[in-house]
Amino acid sequence: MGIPGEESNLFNRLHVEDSNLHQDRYQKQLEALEADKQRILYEQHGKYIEELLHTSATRNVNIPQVSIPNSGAFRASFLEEQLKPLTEDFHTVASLMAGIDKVGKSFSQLGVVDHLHFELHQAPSSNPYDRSADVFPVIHLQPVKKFFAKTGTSIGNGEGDSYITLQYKNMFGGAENLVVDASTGTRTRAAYLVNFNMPVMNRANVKFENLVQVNSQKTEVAGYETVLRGTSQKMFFAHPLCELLQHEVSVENYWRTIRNVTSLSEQVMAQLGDDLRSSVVYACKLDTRDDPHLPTKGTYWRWGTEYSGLFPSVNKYRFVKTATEFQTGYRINPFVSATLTGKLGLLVPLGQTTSCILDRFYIGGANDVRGFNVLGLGPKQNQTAVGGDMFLSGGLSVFSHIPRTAMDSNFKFQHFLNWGKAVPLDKSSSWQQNVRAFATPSVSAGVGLVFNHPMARFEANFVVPLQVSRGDSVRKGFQFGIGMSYM
Amino acid sequence: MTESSWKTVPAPIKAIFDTFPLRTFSEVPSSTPASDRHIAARTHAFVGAKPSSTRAVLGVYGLHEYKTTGRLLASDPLCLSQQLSFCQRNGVKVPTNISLAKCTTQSSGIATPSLSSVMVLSHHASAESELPILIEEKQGRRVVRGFKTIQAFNASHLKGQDVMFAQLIDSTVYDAWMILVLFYLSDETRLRVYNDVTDASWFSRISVFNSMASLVKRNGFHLRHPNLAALWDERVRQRLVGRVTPARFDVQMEVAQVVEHADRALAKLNEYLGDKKGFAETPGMVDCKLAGLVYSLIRWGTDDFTLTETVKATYPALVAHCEWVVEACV
Repeated sequence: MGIPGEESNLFNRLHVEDSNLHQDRYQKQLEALEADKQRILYEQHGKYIEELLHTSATRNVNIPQVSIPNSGAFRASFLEEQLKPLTEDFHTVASLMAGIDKVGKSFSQLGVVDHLHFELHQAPSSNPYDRSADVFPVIHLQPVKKFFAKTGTSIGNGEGDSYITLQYKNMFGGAENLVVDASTGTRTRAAYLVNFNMPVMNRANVKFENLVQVNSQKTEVAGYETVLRGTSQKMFFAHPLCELLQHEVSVENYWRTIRNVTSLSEQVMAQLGDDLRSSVVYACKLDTRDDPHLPTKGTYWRWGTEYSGLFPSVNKYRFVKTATEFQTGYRINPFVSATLTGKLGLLVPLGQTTSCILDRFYIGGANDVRGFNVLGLGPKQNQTAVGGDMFLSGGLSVFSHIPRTAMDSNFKFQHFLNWGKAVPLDKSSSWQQNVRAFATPSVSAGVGLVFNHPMARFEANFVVPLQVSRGDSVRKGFQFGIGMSYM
Repeated sequence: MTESSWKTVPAPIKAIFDTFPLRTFSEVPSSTPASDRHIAARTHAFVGAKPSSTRAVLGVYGLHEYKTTGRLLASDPLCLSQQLSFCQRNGVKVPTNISLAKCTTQSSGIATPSLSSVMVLSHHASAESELPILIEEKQGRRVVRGFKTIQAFNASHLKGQDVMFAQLIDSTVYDAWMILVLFYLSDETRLRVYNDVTDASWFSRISVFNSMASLVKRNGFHLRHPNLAALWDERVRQRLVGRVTPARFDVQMEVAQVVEHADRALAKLNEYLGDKKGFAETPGMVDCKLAGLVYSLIRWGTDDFTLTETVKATYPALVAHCEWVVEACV
């Protein structure tokens, strides 16, 4: 038999716990109700705006002034340019909304604000017969932090590296950014990068970038080490009528040094030393994918072409190089989606000389043609990959939902088929003869598990090669990959 | 009885695994006529070398024509010594100025790929950034022997007083050559000797400094003369930003001392050779070493480099010895 006092204590405790449980439950119900209320209010607000836009879309709007309370971080001329969609044109309600969208997009494209929101204030009309309204937009923005520094080290698998990154954003109040990056380690001996970028004439869709770079990297699988020192000046722009298609024009001058480490290839031996690559490059890309790592709809297309040999007296290797890639995602049903990827490239050496091993195409690896090692496909001389002047590669992947996981789970099953081939260009043969080499591509197939993290995609696959060329560096069995883009 | 463990792949699975790849195509060609020409243009076969499955390629900085004979000699003295020694050991003659590319017909690629030859390379071809190197190929297997390995091999074949002569030539006389290269030669000549480049473009001038920086560390020069090596490093840095180092008194003193020591060593060697043709009846390792350096000092010496004139005017035995060794290989 128990002690009466204890029983009463126990009862009290149970009562208190019970009431706590009830309180928690009520609290949760209350929060859920509050969330529902907010959602309904938001939807109502949205509907109201939609209705208002629908009924008053053509109603004239005057914008006497635009206020930005926290604008001290920006130059007046810079702000004027960003606010042009609101201040320049004659407005209706619909165009005002479009203008607000444009202004918001400009600020976020330039990366100069942490967050911003708009308020619209309407002044009472003095004339009851006048249908036009005076609207005073107020833009509340939070500028980004100007200075940012990050340092770090990583050690593992007998390798290590350390880095320091300094960023000075919005230097002169017009979205001018300076990034200084330095790293050193076992694989990358030393890499220094200074990047200064700014919008041209304060326009968000035209950006200029100036890059100074020194990079010393050991490519163990290739058997040589490369040192790159140089600059590149890039201009990014998109036409206002087709903003999805982005263009890039750059002029690059790099002093390259190739040093031998373990290579026994005569081709590599003959190309070791210094050379200057002076190029003009044009590239454009279109990206409508819903997710760049694992798209289920939309298309990505990129095309780039390079002419190298701007200073023929000092450029040892003159060439024209062009490459393109596309990827398209397709949702077959709520459980299954597929991606189709294709890449191809061509490098044509100008004059009598051969192409430089650093300019050639290399394919293979967990993020490229699976089932083969990095640089595993294509021409090889004395176990050194010397690269191809032409390449073609592609992949078809089918992703399926894993049973007993949430529909929006980032884990997926995948089945894939990859193919690719890289070959040298023999200018003394006809085009048909050169292209015929692609009739026998190396092919692999496999299954695996994919984890689509917002930062990168992780894969663990089991892969077997179906067709290979003698000399290909095959990876049969498990293969793991981490990366942003996959075949 | 075979041991089985959890690590062993079951035979049926292994059998399935081994069926892949299902098809194997022929190897992707690694070269084109253009890439073959690129290699052949810097490759010159030794005269008298016979096609064989075993061949050697001697990697040197640059080549130049010997007198007007159409024969090519390595421009750097250590490479030249090795080239001469190679000829002596293998019973071949130095290459002609016709590169393999010119021997090639358009359709057949390189006509004589299996011949032992001399190849012009960058100093980056060696992991130690120094030439000469010897690339040996035997039944498809290729081995690269660096300068230090070649030196050790050469030293292992020396006996008695030859060891002393070799050390004297490799250090004291060689240092005089380095003084000539670092402080007297023009950029154009340096480019010819060490980069095999005849046009002195601004980019070539930058890259010649690159090769000089590794040259001061070759053959122990930076250990014997750390001040001069350090000064050169400083000079490289300053030259790249467009300034010229003022001549310093202590440097001038050390330079003069190195040249004086070399002069004394050459005088002794001249005296030793006297009427003799060489250190042996037929040119040997020491003969090749001395001939390589004396030839280079005479061939590339400048008017203001006094040692060149001294050798030509005062040491006839050395000049005669040098001609004897070189002529034996031409």
